[in-house]
Amino acid sequence: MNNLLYIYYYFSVITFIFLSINLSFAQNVDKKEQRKAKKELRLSETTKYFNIGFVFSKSNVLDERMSSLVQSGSGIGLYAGGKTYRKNKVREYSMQAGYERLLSPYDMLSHQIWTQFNYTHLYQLPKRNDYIFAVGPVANIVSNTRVTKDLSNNIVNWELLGSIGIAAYYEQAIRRSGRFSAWVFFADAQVPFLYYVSRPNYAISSPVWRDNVKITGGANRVNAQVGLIIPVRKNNPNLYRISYQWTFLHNKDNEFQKVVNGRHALVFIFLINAI
Amino acid sequence: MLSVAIICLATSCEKVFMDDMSNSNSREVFDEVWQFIDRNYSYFDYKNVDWNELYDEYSAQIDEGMTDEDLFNVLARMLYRLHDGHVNLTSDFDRSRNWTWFLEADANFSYDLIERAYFSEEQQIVGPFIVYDFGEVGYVYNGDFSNSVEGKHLDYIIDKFSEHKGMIIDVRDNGGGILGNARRWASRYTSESVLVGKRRERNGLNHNDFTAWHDETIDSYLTDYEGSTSSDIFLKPVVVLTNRSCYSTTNYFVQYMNELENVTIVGDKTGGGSGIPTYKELSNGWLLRVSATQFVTPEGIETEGGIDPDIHVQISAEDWLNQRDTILEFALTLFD
Repeated sequence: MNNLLYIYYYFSVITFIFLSINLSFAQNVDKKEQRKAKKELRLSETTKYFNIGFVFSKSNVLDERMSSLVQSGSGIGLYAGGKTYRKNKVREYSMQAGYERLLSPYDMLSHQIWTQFNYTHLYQLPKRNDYIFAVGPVANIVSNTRVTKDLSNNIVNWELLGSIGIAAYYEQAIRRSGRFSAWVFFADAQVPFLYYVSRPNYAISSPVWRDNVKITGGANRVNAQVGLIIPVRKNNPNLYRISYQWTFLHNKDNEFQKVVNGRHALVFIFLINAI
Repeated sequence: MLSVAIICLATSCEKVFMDDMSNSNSREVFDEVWQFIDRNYSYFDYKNVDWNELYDEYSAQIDEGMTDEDLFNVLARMLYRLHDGHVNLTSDFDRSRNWTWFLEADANFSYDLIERAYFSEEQQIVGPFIVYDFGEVGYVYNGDFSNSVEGKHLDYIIDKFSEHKGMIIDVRDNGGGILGNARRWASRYTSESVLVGKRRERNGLNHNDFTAWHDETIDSYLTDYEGSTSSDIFLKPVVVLTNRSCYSTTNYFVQYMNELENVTIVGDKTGGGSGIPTYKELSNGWLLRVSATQFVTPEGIETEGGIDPDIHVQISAEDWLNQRDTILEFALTLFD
């Protein structure tokens, strides 16, 4: 009798395990299919571009640590990034780096190397089909490094800045129909409110720098852009984008020294459709 | 879009925040100079200078109708009172300076004298170095640390004198240059890292606002360069010859060598100049240079006024008449 009970008991346990495995397997298959379907749906709702291009820039800089004079000059740079439209979201990241040759009114020459990384994650408000207006958070990392041979031991000055803030984006077709109907006007603006700033104390041989966390007022930055998005050709999913970008940075080291950096850039990029 | 771009480019909105002071008047330039020094100069206390008092004294000499040259001269006189070779104002027509640190001392050096009276054979020119073999003692002269000191030159010199009793390093009349050159050269005379001093930088509005002291060490070439061997460094006796014209980077070099066990400093006190300068372009285009750091020995002794030699030797008027460099001659006797 006992043996029969044992056999019954073991049979039940093995059957339960077997059924559980099968059930789990079936559920996994189900989940995979659901995930696949979700992915397909997401892909159908997503338009994604990889962006690559170049930048012509002109800057005005006043860095009171190195000069009492405004230095102005121009240069070139590279642009790489990506943009994703999905349902009611617009996500964009961009990396830019460039070189500018700056001169003071009395011909003191500086070489400025700049970098700029932006990431925006925006939500469309309201949900409309005839235009996009989206707002959301933005994160920036920017740097401007100036090398001025005339300043000898003070040869390198820089500002490295990380910030978070809010961004707004607007996009609308120029015309509803006819010629240029595929052309799109866009504008965006980014305004950080929390900053991490690093500036050199002196750029002497063992540099000491000042790190600061600031809010708007102590440091100020604006990044604004207007431009056009133009199809490469009819029925071609790739796009050109031509824009004017203004980047402004104002930072006070103390009540007597400040740096103001204004960059005007014409940005030409090619948007390669990825999905 | 194009019109918006053109408007922004033309107006350069950021200029609202830039107080471009080009073509400023005399008063503004004077205040700018005074203020930059007030906030950056590192030796007010050491030199016992009352900067506010100097403002009152020289500010009274400024008037709006004065010429650029007159303004320059007033500023030059004010800067002179800091008694600092690293404080200069440079314009298109002059550079203000205070060179009393060596002009009021004996010269104690003439390369021409050494070349004519002591080099019986051709000396070698190895990169920035003049190299001469006195038989059992090697002699190396460097007159300017602005010229790059390269490893291949040091390799050659150390190899050339490796079997000699020792080496004389002559840095008299060397007014300084690039600090890295001094560090590179000194690293060849030690087998280990040596604490050679402490440095701090001015970092606030008050005259006594400085960063914390940070140690300055000289690492041996052996630890700095992988693959180097003991034959790349020189640990035999070394004598460093100095005079009051050893300034700035050379002052640092002498202090570096001063902390090494195998080194003796001979000659006159160095000229000092330990404050590493910071620069600023002024609103009228002139360039202002100001000492912004302090450097002391590991024991905390300030080196701005110069470094005393281990053995003080001077070239007397009689020695000059007899065409004798008694500092060099004394150094040679140390190897007997």
